[in-house]
Amino acid sequence: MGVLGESVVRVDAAAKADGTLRYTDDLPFDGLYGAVVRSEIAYGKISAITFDPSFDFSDIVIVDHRDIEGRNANVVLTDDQPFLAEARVRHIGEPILLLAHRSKRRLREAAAHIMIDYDAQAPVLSMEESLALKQRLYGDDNVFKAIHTVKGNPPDETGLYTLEKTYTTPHQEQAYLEPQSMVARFDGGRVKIIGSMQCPFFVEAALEGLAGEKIEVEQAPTGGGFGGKEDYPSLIAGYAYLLCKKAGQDVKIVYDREEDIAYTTKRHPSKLRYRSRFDSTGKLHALEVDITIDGGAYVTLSPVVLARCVLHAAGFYDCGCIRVDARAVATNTPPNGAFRGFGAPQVLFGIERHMDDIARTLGLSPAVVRERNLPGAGSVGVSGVPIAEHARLRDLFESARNESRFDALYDSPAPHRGVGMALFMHGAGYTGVGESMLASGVSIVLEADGSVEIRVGSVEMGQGTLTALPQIVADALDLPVDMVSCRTPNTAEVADSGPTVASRTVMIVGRLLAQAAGKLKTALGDYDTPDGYREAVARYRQSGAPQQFGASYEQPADILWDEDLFYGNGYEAYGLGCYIAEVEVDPVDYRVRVVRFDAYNDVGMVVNPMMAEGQVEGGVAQGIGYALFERLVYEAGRVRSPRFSDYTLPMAPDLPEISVRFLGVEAPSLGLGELPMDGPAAAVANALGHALGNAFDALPITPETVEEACR
Amino acid sequence: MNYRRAANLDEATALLAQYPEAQLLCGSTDAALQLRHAPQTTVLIDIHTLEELRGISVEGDYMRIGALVTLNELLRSDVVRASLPLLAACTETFGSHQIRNLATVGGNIANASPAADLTAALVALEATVTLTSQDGERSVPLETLFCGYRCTKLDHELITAVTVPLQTGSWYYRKAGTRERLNIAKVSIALTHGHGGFRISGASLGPNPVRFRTLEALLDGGVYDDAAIKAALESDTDPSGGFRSTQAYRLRVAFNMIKEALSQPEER
Amino acid sequence: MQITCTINGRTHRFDCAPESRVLDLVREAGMTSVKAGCGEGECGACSLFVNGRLVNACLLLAPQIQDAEVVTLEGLQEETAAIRESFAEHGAVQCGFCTPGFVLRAYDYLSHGGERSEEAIKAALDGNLCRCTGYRKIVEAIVKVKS
Repeated sequence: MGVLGESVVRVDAAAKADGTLRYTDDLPFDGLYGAVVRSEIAYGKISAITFDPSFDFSDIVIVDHRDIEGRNANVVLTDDQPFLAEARVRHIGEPILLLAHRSKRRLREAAAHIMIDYDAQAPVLSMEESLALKQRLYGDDNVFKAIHTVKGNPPDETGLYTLEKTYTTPHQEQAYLEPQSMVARFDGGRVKIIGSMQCPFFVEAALEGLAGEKIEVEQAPTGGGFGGKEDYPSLIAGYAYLLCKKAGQDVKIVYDREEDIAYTTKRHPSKLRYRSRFDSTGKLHALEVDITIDGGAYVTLSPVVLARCVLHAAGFYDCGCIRVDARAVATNTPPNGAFRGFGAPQVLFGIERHMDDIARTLGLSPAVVRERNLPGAGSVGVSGVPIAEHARLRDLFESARNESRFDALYDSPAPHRGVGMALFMHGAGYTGVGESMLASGVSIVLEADGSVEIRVGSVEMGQGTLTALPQIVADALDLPVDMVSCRTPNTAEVADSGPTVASRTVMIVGRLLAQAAGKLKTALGDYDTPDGYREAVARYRQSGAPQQFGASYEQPADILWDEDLFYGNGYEAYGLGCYIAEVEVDPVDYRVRVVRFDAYNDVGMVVNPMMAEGQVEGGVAQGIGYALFERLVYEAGRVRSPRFSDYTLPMAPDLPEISVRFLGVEAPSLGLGELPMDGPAAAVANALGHALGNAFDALPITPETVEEACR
Repeated sequence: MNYRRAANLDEATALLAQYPEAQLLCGSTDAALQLRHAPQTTVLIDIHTLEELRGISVEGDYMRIGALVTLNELLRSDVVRASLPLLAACTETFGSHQIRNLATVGGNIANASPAADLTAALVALEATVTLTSQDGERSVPLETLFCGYRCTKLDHELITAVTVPLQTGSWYYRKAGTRERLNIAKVSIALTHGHGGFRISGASLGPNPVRFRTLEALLDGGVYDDAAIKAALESDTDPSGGFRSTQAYRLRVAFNMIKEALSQPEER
Repeated sequence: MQITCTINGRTHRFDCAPESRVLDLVREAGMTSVKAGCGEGECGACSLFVNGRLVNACLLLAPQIQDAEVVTLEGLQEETAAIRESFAEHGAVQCGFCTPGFVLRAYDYLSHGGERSEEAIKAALDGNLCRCTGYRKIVEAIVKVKS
C-alpha cells in the first residue's frame, strides 16, 4: 500500500487535541498522594531526623531507607545511587524520606514538621573543584569514567598553525511539558506501576532490585521526555512503590514544575579544550580534544554520555591524528542524565565552533575550511575505522551550502546580520556493543480479523512511535496502516525492544518489526487483494500455527567494537546534518533573533515526512533555546528560581521559519530524534560571530553576553 | 485563610480598616503565586467584583482608568490607543494574552515590583492614583506612592483609579527581555516629550519606578551629549545586578533606548 | 468556603479553601483537558474560559469563579472541531500535553476575528509553551483552519 514515506496523520492526534487522552495525573485515582522530603544541604552527614512532637503524624505514611526490602540502590551502570539517603547526602534535593497522605495539604504540613539536622561539609560545586579534589566524592580521583583515545601519528609540525580554544556548555533542562508523574496501584498485595516514562523495562529492572521481585510496569501517555524520562522515572517509580507497599493503598506522585526543574536530571555541563594543527589552506593535521563533563552526585548514565562525547568530538572531519582525553567528574549537584543528543550537542558545539575559529585565524570562509576537511574514502574517524558516510556527507554539505546561498550571505552580510553553519553527525542506536548487549526483541500478533498488534516496549512520548511503527509493519504486509496498532507498553505483556532512546526506535525496532512482519507474510503465503489477505489469514488461523511472530537483534557482521581500545564502529550508522542559521543582532538591546534556519538532514528513508519535519523543527527549537534562551543559575548547589519565568524557553514569536530538507532517502532509515538538537547551537553561535566579528565560546549566549562582547 | 468578599467600595474600605495586613485580591496573577510560595497574610479581601473600580473614561484632558481594568481591556480600548499610545504600546508587551485577561492596572501598581513596566509607563505619563479609605479619598502622583523595593505608602487604602493626562507630544516606549514576548522586563524605557519638556521613567532600573529628573533636565536644556546622558542615567537609576541581568547591561540598554528615543521618537 | 459556578453549562459546587487554585478544582471535577504544566501562568496548558475570557487556571483562585461560567475544552468540542482537525492534519500535535491549551487559544483568537497571518498568530501565541514542535506546525494549522 506504500504507507512508508507517507505523511499519515498520527493515530493519537485526535485524542490529544480533544483533551480526552489520559496522562498519568488524569487517570482515575483513589488513593494517597506521595511527597519527597529532601536534603537541604549539598554534602554532609545526616545527624538527626526529628518529627515535631506537637504534630500528629499517626495518619501519615512515612518511609525511610529501612523500609527497603531489596537493595537501596538504583542500579543503572553502577550501584552508587541510593533510592533514599542513609547516612550521607551528596546533593541538595537528595531524597531522605517519603510521605503519603490522602490530603496534599496535610502532606505539606507534615513535611514542614520534620526537622533534619546535618553535619555539613564543604561541597564540591564545580568541575574544577572536583578535579582539585576539594573532597573525595568518588574513588580516588572523583572521576566517574575516563576515556583516552589516540588515532594516527603526530604530524610534522613544520609550517603548521596551532590554535587552542576552550568552549563551555551549560546545564539544560528537558522541560517536557508534563512533569514527572507516577502511580503505584495496590492490588491484592501486588504493586503495579503506571507512569510517564521512556523505558518501562528500565523501571522494571530498577524496581526488581529495590523490591526483590519483578514488578509490572506500564507506560501511561507521556507528555514529552527528551531523555528526561529515560533514567529518572526509575527513582520516582521506586518512591511510589515504597509508599504503596507500606500504605497498602494506591499512591500517586506528581512533581510540580519547581521540584522537576530543581531536582531531576539535566544535560551535562561541559568544558571542552580544542587544540588543532592546520596548514594555511585550513586543512587539519592534528586535533587534540580535552573534555570534562559534570556528572553531578552519582554516576547514572555519565559514562555512556562521555563515550558519545568522545565519538563525536572531532565531528566527521578528515584528520590524520586525533587525540581525545575525556572524563566525567563527580560534584555535589543533582545528577545529570540523558537529554536528547546525549553528549553530542556539547562536543559538536566545540568542534563546530573550532572550525569557524580556524577559518577566522586564516581569514578564510568557514564553508571553505569545512570543505577542505570533508572526509573521503580513505578517511578514518576518531575510533580508528573509515568514515563510511563520506559521500553522503559531501552531498549534504554541498546541497546545504548552495541552496542556502551560504557563500553569498557570508561574503556580503547586511548590517548586524550574520550567517553560520554547522556540519555534524549523530551516531544512531546504542554506543559500541550496546545494541548487542540490549539484545532487543519485538513481537507482532495476528488477530482473528486480520489486524496486527505490535507488542514492543518502545513508547510514544510525542515523537510518533504509535504511528511510525504501524507504518513500517503495514508496509511490510501490504496492509492499510489502520490494520496495525501498538499494544500499551506493559512489561508483563510486550517484548523488551529496549529503551526509547538513542534515536533507535525506527532504525532498530522498526527494522526488527519489518523482519517479524516478513515472517508473518511468508507464513500467510501469497495475497494480492484485501479479500485475498482475509482468506489467507483465515486459512492460516485454521491451521493452528502460532499467531505471534518475533525477531531479535543481531549485530551486523561488519560491525566491530573494542571497548578497551575504544576502537571500531562506535555506531551501526550515523545520521547527518548541515544546518545554516542567519541571525540579526539588535543594536539597542543586544537580543539575537534567528531570522532564518535551514536544516538539511540525511537520515535515510523517512517513514513519515510530516512527523519527521516536526522532529527537526522541535529539535532546532530546543537547540536555539540551548544557544540563546535557556539558563539555569546554580547558587551553592541549588537551582535559583526553578521556574519557567526565569528558565525561559523559546516561544512561537522567537522562532524563524525553519526550512527542513531530507536527503539520502533512498537508503534504509537511520536515527532522527536526536540529530536536530546537535547542530543549532554552533550554527547560531557561528552566525553571531560572523555578525559581530567576535567569538562566542560559551553557551547560552544571552543579551548580557552580547552586550559584553559589544563593549 | 480568612476570606472576605467586599460587596461594594464602602465594604472594601471597612474591611481594609479592620484587617490592615490583608492581601487584596484583584486579578490574582500575583496574589496566587504569593499565597503559594510566600504567604504573608491570613486575610484575603476580594475586591475583584467591585463595579466602581471598572471602566475607562475621558474627562477633559484626562483619562480615568479604573483600578480593576484589565490589561487586555486597556489593549482593546480605542480611546487608549488614540489618546495614550505609549500606554497602549506598553500594554502590548505585558505578560501573555491569558495573563492580560486577568491582570489589573491597580494590582500591577500595588504589587510594586521593580520590574513593573506598566507602572514605569504610567510614571512617565505623570499619572496620579486615587486612593480610598474609610477616611475618604485622596489623589497622589503615582511616583510618590512608592517607598523602595516592593514598598508602597498605601495606608489602609485601596487604589480605585489611575488618572492620566492625555498625551500631546511625542513618545517612545521599549522593553527588553530575553524573548520576544512574555518577559520580565530587564529594562524598559518610557519617554514623552511635550510642552512641559521630557518625562522619562523605566522599569528594572531601581527599587521602584521613578522619573529620571536629572536626565529630563539635561535633555530639556538641549544637551544630547552621550557622556552627559550616561552620567545623568547613572545618577537617576540604581539597577540591581546579578541573577536576571547585569547592572552594566541594564544601564547600557537604557542608554541605547534613550538614544533611540531621541533619534526617532514616534510622533503623534 | 462554598463556591458555586457552572463548568461547561453544568452547576458545580466546591467546598474548598479560598486559596485553592481553580486548576485543581476543575481537574477534580473531571475536566482533565486542563493540564498542570508550570503553575505560574507561563505555559498556558491550563488555559480555560471564565466568563468568556481565556485565562490561566493556575493563577486563578477559587473565589474568582464564584457565580462564573467556566468553559473548558470538554465543553467546546463542537466549536473546536475544525481547529482540532487542522492540528491533526498539519502535524501540530506531538506529545499533546500542551495541545488543549493551544486549541483553546486558537479558538479564542479565531472567534475574535484574529488575522490569519503567520506573524499575527505567532504574536498571539504569547501565552502557550510547546517543547516538541518548534511551533511551526501549530502556526500553520491555525492559518489553515477551515472556516
